Amino acid sequence: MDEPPSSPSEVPGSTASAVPNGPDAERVARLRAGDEAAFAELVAEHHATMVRIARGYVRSDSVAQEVVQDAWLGILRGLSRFEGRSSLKTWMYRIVTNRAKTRGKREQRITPLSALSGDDDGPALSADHFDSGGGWNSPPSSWTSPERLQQDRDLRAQLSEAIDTLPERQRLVLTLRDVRGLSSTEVCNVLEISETNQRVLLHRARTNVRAWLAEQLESS
Amino acid sequence: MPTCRDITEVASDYLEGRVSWADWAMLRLHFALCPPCREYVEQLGLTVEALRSLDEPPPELVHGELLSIYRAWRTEGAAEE
Repeated sequence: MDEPPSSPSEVPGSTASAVPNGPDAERVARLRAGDEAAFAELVAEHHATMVRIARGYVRSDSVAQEVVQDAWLGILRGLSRFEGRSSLKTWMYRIVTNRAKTRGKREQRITPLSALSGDDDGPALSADHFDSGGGWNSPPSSWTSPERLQQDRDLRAQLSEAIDTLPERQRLVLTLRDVRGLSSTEVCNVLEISETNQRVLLHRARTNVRAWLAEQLESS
Repeated sequence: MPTCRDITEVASDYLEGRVSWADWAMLRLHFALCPPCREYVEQLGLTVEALRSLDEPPPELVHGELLSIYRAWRTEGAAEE
């Protein structure tokens, strides 16, 4: 199945559009009415995230772009069935996820080696940080000028790149939760993963990113 | 008592406010007694803050292409009506 389930009351072939409820109603109405500004807004808000999601399932950026373009058309075509049971964002991201998964399967993609750590085996922070009693072996050093995290453009650009080197499921969860601000329920829905899985992946991803930042901020 | 290693494993849940009241109290006690763990969780918090403030620039280049998709879809709809 490609698009998320539509209303059971929907009559196949019916030309009448579902009337969405909730906070997205106005936006959906504008999109259906052909409001290009509303569409441009939607693209600005979500396109990059959609590409990131797709990239988690296919092997190259260009294929991810293709999948997302195709997903946009799917979204527009599905708009008449959108009822507002989930947020527009969650609904859109699920369309992308489904399409990217299908495409990924077709590609028989090989999982890339992760640049940081494994996806979800073992502790997030490697054992050598601790002694046998579980106390710190090499305690974290304090960070010099942590305000750089908000102000240093280069560091922030590098941070974005570092996120891309995370194992893909960690990257997806981290991007959706922390960068894009989705709730854990939304992330579970979009990626079709369990709450426990989501927590583990988020924890691992944050642990890895902190370790990366520590390298940048301790040495400077 | 949890070890420092245990603390790092629940640090993310702690920041999310997803630990029980009893665990929260135990963590607070640990942080009070253990500067390295306090430092660690503070850094994890700064990490999350930095991530939340990472905005992705709107993709100017793709706007055009997507806009054509939108226009084509509109035409498609009009043709069906």
